[in-house]
Amino acid sequence: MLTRLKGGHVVDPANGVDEVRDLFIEDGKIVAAPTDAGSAGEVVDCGGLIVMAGAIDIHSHIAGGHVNTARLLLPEWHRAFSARPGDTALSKVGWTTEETGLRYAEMGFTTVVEPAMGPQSALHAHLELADIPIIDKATLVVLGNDDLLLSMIRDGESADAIADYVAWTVDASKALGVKCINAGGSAAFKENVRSYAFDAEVPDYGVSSRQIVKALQRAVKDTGIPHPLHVHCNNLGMPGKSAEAAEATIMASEGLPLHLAHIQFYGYGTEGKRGFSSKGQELAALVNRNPDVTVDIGQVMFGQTVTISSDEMRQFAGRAQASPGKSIILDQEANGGGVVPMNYQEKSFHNALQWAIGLELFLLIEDPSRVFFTTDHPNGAPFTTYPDIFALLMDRDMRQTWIEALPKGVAKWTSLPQIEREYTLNEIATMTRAAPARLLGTKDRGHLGVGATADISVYRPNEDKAKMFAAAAYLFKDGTKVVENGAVIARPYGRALTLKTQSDAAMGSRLDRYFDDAYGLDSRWFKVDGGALRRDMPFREVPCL
Amino acid sequence: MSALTFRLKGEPEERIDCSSLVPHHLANFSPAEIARLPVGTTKRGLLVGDVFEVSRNDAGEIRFEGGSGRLDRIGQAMQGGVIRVAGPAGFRFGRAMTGGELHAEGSVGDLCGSAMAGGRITVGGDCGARLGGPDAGEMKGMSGGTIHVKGNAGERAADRMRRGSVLVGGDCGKDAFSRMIAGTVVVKGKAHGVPGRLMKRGTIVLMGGAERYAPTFVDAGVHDLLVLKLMAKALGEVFGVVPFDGSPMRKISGDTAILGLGEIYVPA
Amino acid sequence: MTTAWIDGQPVSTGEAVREAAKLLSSSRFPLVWGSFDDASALREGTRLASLAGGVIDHRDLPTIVPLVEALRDNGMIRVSPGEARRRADRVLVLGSDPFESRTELFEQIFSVRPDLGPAKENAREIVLLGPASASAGAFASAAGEVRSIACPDGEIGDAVAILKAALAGRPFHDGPFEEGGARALAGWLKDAAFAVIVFDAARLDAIAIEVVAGLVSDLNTDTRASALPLAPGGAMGAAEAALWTSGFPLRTGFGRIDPDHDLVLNAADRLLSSGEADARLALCLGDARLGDHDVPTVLLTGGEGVEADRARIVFSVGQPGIDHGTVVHEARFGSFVSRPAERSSMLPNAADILSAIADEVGARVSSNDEARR
Repeated sequence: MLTRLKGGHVVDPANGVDEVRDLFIEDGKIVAAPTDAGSAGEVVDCGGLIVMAGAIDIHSHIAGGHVNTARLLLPEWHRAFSARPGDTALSKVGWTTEETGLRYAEMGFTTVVEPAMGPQSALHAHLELADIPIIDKATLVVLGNDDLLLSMIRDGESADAIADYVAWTVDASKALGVKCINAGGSAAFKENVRSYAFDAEVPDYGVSSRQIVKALQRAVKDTGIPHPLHVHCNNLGMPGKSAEAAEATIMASEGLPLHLAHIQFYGYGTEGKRGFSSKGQELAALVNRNPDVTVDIGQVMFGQTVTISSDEMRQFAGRAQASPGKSIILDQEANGGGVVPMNYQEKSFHNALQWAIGLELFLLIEDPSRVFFTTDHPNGAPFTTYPDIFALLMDRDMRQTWIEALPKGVAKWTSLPQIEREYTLNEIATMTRAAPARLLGTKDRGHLGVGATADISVYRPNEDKAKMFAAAAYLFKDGTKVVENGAVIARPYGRALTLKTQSDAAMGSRLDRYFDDAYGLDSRWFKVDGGALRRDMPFREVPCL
Repeated sequence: MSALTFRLKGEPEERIDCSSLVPHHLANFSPAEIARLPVGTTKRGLLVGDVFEVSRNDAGEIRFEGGSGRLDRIGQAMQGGVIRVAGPAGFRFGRAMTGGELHAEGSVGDLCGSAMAGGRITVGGDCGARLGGPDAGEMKGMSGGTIHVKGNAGERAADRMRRGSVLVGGDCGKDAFSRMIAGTVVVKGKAHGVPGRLMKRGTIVLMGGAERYAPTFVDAGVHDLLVLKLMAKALGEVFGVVPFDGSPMRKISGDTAILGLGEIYVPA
Repeated sequence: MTTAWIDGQPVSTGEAVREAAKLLSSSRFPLVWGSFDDASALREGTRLASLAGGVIDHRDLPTIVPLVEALRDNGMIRVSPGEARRRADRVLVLGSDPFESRTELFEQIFSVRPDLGPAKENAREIVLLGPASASAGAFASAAGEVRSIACPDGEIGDAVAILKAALAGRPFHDGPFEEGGARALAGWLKDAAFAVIVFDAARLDAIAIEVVAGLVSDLNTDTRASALPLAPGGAMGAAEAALWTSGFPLRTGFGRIDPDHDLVLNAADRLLSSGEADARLALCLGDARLGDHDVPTVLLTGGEGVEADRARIVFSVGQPGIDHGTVVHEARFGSFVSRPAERSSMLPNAADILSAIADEVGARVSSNDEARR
């Protein structure tokens, strides 16, 4: 059936469209306007509404072992308990896979990337993703603290061999890309190293973080993976050292694309009597000067949340600030990780400055196609805070109101009060639709051109931008209307986006032996079998470059 | 004025959530509105009127005529006023209450006074496990107020207790005072199992002693302490009568596995 | 081949599914309980319990309750078996042999020497703190030096608490240790490159597990140490799958809009003996039995003893991982693995039956909603 979205203001920067026009959908795709527009079987009146492609979140921890551990650790913050200790931002997220899909869809999101899937947690992550309704999902598989990669680099194995290993891992785990998290840091922590930097060596291997990042960056390119290596730098959150780590990593991109995750957590200097200051301006300038680099923010918002990370060294250090005071840390093959609850408080100088640094970076990085909209859910804040963040980016007065509520003294440590920029709808559409689709290599989405997957979000304009983005007027997923007036009306299951990476057969037999010899594990356990997920079409393949 | 009364129509087939039936919440409701409040815990969607006959009067005092072990969360989060239950009550009796008085003539279930912060609870019979303790995952149990259980307390009484006073007229079940952070507990009978495991601080008077003390509790000798006299007097003012008078007692300190500043006093 | 019965009479699967859905829909508070080791069955079982407004529970849940409580009340630094194999230079084993029915896991960790970390050249040192002797049982064949310190199973919690006090330099009684033994053992842990404390999580109570977690946490102030709790994969996997489907690790009720989690109130035995659950669906595999209580029952059975006469509706189902594929929590891997069927079989997959009943219950719920409108 042909569906006509009639008379909406279409904001589609990927195709240079920013005007009132009709859109037509058939069989889940966007199609050209028929000669007789009246032939549409269904007409959705979009007069006065804003029409965009479905939004894409490139970095949100929505599934997998550590996410589930957070559910286990914090029963008291679940929705079912919310009437008892009081509503929390975390309780509004909903803790189930089902609610994750519903809440994202209500805001007009149609694709979300789980960015930290350990190779061992791949089946677990995909089982959870299979239970998230409506949205499409994808994962990045984590390498960079694994014994095999570190050994290969130490032993001077060829770039081809490393690329084969990466290709095997991406294919086995059904990932869309590769992430490295504090490369070498988790491995070093298991040897009781407590502080680690870009050029420090991992004991036992004599390999530096730089070598690991560079080897993976090259392997990702050689394998034809569209998404550049996704890097979580060393020394996250440490005043001074974090900014140095981000700078060193950016400088190491050396002409090849590199994505730096949740850069807000690296924008920390050491000035002032508290030894904590903003490096937002410097970091933004550095990003502006280095066109190879893309970043997402990891915006902090105030309230109770929980940090979920495969950066075991950082999570171990963060135990001291856990609120409530409990945490689960995992020593595991490769990265491990940890779950540490966190309560960001508006009245805390430290937390307030973190909030301001995130916004500084959002607003000072000039190209909206190189900065991505994330809270590193739930690490900076739950994704349910997105509407407020859109409003903060689009409305300078609102920022001013928030700044005035912060502790005295915060304002003088950030350039935020002086920044006049307000994001336009077109820039928002670039940042949350066009650019992420390009970054992930998913050409069928992020835009509204003919042939695109009919993932379409429609918003009702409102002076209050938070209200506008909190509840989509309509959401179409694969051409099916799934949200109306901010409420889910249908819940089909989306798919996980995967790559078909090719590796030499010899790598397969090598890994069969390796996992058995090194860890007593069966290499088949690392391979995700789509049949185990109990969905008709669990995957959708994205072409390699 | 007489109390707002909920007369149980018969033993309910399912557990009943009475958390909305607290004075501050009912103050502005008419009897018809109260009868339409949801209290069921199954898909049948039971309302107050399905379970109780309501006679409307001053909501400042609420009375449950005929109790049941299935009436959960009576007095949950109550802020003031009085609730009396003429019979037994279910789980989470007075959980998270911050003020007022809550009385049950009969026995109550687990998590009585769970994480309460203020107010006064009396239980005529026994109480279930985790008296005053935290609910799943919560970091602290009772943090204020007083609880008097005239009968026995179940396992792990005063778990993670942080402040406030508890008097148990009978015995305590297994592993009482586990993970206690601070506060005062007086037990007329004995403590079964191993009391005080992982307690950091807090003061306990165990008139009947304990079944066994953990090896991480050390005997600190017999003391004639002014603080015991002051405590007996202060607690006497709260509870009426307490089973100790400030005479010299033996002090056992622990749990040294964690901090070791907890004190258990037993008759010398 | 008949695989479905109503009141003892053979029927089509579809007929039995409709009757089961009717029974569960018309009950007040149905219990969905049983051998939910297969994550696929648990996912469908949770959906069924949710649509039918009932409770979901696993028959082996008591074996993981202390661990679940310790993890969420206190947290823990823990290690996967594979990492323990490669790094643990000193291993403290608590209680009667926790590897007694875990031969493959034992082999994975103890058949080789550690080969990563500063102590990789040394032989692994293993201390058995418990009633077992070092020269008997599986540990006699471990690659490493094994010694034992006698301690009755009932005093393991005390012994670990003593080690924690000794490490901190606070006073204690010797308990099961010889004079000076506790300090020596605490020092031995502290001087490890990577110490692992392993125990059967079903044999310690929640407080004792918290003490172990506390000891490990204290050790990590200066050195590396990690806990390795061993828990049955079936119940652990079910709890994990329940966490993402319902937000809680089982014993969760869906009588109201938000799930109600309560380990005591929603325990299957209590719900049946109190009469609060007025119907049940039981998945009985292996040696699982219906137990003493009789309520209107839907039985999915692939077990050794078929108690078909005690159920109104009976489905014969296959064995997960034998008659059909399965997804289970594998302790050696520390996560889920999928296993294909071992043989071709006509027996239905319990997950498919549960899914069909859930769909039918869901359809009844929405048609009731329509009717009400």
